[in-house]
Amino acid sequence: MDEQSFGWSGKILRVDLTSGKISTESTGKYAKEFLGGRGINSWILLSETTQDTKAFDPENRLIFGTGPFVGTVVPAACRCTVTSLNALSGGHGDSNFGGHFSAELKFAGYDHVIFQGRAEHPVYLWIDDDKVKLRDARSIRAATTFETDQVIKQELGDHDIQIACIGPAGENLIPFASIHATSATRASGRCGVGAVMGSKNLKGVAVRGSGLVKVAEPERLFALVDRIHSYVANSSWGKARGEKGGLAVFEGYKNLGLLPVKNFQDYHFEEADKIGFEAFKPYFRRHASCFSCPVYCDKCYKIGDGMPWAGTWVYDVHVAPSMFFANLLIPDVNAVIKGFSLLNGYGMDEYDAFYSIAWAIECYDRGILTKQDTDDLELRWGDAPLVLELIRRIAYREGNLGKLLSKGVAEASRQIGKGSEKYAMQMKGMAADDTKPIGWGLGVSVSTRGPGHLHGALTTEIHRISPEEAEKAYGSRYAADPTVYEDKARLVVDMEHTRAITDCVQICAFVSTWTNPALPGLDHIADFLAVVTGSAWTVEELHRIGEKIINIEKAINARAGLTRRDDYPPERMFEAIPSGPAKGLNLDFTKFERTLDQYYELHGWDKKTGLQTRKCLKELGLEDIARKLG
Amino acid sequence: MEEIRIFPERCTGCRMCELVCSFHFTGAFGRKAGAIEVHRHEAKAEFLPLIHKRPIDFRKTCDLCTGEKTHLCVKYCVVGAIEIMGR
Repeated sequence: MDEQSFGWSGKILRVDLTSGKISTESTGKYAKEFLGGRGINSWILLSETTQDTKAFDPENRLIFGTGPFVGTVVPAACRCTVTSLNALSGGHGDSNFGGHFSAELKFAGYDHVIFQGRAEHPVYLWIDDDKVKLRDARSIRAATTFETDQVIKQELGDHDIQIACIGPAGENLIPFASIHATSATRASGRCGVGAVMGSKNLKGVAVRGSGLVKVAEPERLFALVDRIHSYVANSSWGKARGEKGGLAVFEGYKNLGLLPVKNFQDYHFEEADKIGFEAFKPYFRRHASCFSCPVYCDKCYKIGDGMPWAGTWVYDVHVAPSMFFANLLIPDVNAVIKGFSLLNGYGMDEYDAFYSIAWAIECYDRGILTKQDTDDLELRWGDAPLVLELIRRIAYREGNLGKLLSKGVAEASRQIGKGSEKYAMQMKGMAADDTKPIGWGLGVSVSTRGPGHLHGALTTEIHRISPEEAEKAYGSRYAADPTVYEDKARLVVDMEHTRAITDCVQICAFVSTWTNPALPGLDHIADFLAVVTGSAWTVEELHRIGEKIINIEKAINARAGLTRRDDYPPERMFEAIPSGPAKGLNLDFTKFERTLDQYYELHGWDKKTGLQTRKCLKELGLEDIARKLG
Repeated sequence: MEEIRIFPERCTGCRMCELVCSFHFTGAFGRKAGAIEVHRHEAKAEFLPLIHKRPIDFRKTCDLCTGEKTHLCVKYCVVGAIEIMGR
């Protein structure tokens, strides 16, 4: 890449925290094959670590990846993928965050930042265009993400910079600690990326970028942008998403009867409306957007004077916070805001925190955990003060219960035994996402970075469209039917490719085909690639790159010993929903297994082991990996 | 005479205005190459777009998009936080 580089900035920043050496490399050697963002990150992780590398070893890489669209007017191309070895599964880990950090990194002149080694004492990296320095972070050791953000901005004398940082949970190496950015309003939550950062003694990354991102054909780019802006402004989807944000999705789940409660024992919460959109309205302060996004789905919610935890504010209240509190039977908006704020401040992922608490409450109900295990605490559903207290104890490993739950739900149940493993909602060692309906469930189960809905899970099954519309939008008349297994394996593989490419170019999932068939999928992305970068990729070529990326991540998992047995949901997820609007909906074990077989076949992997074959890796041009995997 | 006005209470902080203003002056996209800057104070829930009408530091000064088909920041602000008065 040279001065005329379109889209990509052209440089990768490499920081060796052990030696303090900072250097740059060209993005060019990776861009054609792996495109950008998650694709390039995953390749670097695979090639620069070995089977013996563990998540907290200095040799592990922590990689931040932007993408060729970031820093341009491509709608919602604002995202950043953090990639590293997974602190809970030992295999592949990646977690993506939105906001304004990624764009600032592009304007500073970098497509990726690779961290390796371990600093002697806490440091943060200051990227000021081409002036890059490691700075002492000892004064902010133990600081929350909010305090860290404030102090660094004060120290550097500029509040208009972007910072990604960890809080006490990351420093304490809680294996589901997270990284927080844009004044701690966005998070890279999963896979323990915050703990990896803590293991490197890296407290934060601050960026200021005064440069430019060039595109090859700006007029044609603006024409594509205008079409999407127009759709967002005029569609009922756009208006609803702008008005309600992620709580629109919470309502959707509630209406479908898909809100898990009591650790997935049921799926219907009577009091869901008390933590839905209408309940949040009095707390609303303003709409907010990520960089270059026309949807403004983000909202600032703040607790007013005279109420419990007055002054507490949060952004990015998507589906999740309310869903987790519904699971624990807590219908209290103040508690949701306070709990979410605590997690942001400590820098800890909500899934493992809440599902380990849910597991503990169920185990206490069943007499598997006793008062000795719980430090005399009474564990109950519907107890907001208990949950807020436990969040703190987990972040700081306080007491028997704090220490136990801080291991994550999988490891905690392994430690306790006594049949408690049955109640641990986990996959690949990480707290699980729900797995109904079918295509969603398959996608969550096979997701390379551990259970999650963003690496192949089908969102198509909840669109209210006809079989003909589904055929047109997704290539299958069954795509929008949540009750059938037909075509689901193929649709999941397609979605894996689409999501991988979307994560390479860094368009937000909420402004893509994953959310709405009218929004960018691979065909639009191909159009954008042509006008942004000046180079053309066909949709078939993008599918092939997507397939390559899945195989790279799969190889990292295979290397860590993950096989077919790690692609199953927990037993409980095969039980039929007991009550509510979705009563009777289930994931059939035999049919799931058959769909999983089909999924492996489509990838060219061995059905029995779920592992890649030499032949499939060779066909993708990944023979080296085949050799290393033996 | 045309004048550009800002309604900061409507601003969502997306910074599309910064991007398109930078494009107007340079043909490329950035945050510091145009006449408009958006300050985001997330903790205070305050977002403030500022348009430079007089020279300061490295900033361009607003020329009301001379040469463009339309006022770009006005067009690309989806929430109407920027308006043209006195047309």
